[in-house]
Amino acid sequence: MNDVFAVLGDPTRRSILERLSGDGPATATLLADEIGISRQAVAKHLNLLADVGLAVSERRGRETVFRAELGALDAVGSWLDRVQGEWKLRLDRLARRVESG
Amino acid sequence: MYGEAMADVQTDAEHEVLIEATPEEIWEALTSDDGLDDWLGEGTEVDPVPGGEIATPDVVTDRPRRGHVDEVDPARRFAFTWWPEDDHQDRSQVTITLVPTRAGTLVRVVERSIVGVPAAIGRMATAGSTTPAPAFVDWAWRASLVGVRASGSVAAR
Repeated sequence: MNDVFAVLGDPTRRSILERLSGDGPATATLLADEIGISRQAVAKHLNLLADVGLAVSERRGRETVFRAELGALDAVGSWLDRVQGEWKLRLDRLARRVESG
Repeated sequence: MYGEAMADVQTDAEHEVLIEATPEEIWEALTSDDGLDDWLGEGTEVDPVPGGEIATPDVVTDRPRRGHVDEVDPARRFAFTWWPEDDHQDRSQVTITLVPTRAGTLVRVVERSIVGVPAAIGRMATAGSTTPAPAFVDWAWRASLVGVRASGSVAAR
């Protein structure tokens, strides 16, 4: 999950993920054209996205296409839910102390 | 252009609660030795000055945490960075603000993960933004991707 945060810290990678999620699978070459950066740069970003499970590559004939895999983002949601829950409990304790005193 | 609209938001875990007391009363409970023992757990030690050390059993998670104080503005704002004692990499920044209202004091907590995100990424990610976010994932953006409504802060009481 920590890595997901780091990987999504980059706006280009978020662009790529958003593109794959919104318009479906694409090759690195197509993404490079659409986003306006080199194919090599796109490939590097795709590898990072794939490393944390946010993108998956598939062979289609001679091409490798990438699709978004958003399940990894659930970990981010889980982190938020967990931390928010912890603070609810801590602030409840704080409130009890203040209101009883 | 993909990406630009999301450049000034970050993923923060937020929680707020309205407590029927003055900010001064809450500040005392929040930062005094006695108060800290109550809400963070027996034996909590916080040196409430910028740079001061934090060590707490954190009874709520039962996973001891360490940290350091970032900001102390009495009755207004208390900010610190902390991490589990057994995982120093898992750092996050916590900001607690106290806002007086007619009904009491709104206590608002924001916790932001700063895990594994080099400063360079933070700068890149927030270029052109007014928000100095060292790390983030845009929760609303994530929600738009998967087509669900994000739940932000949790209303309490």
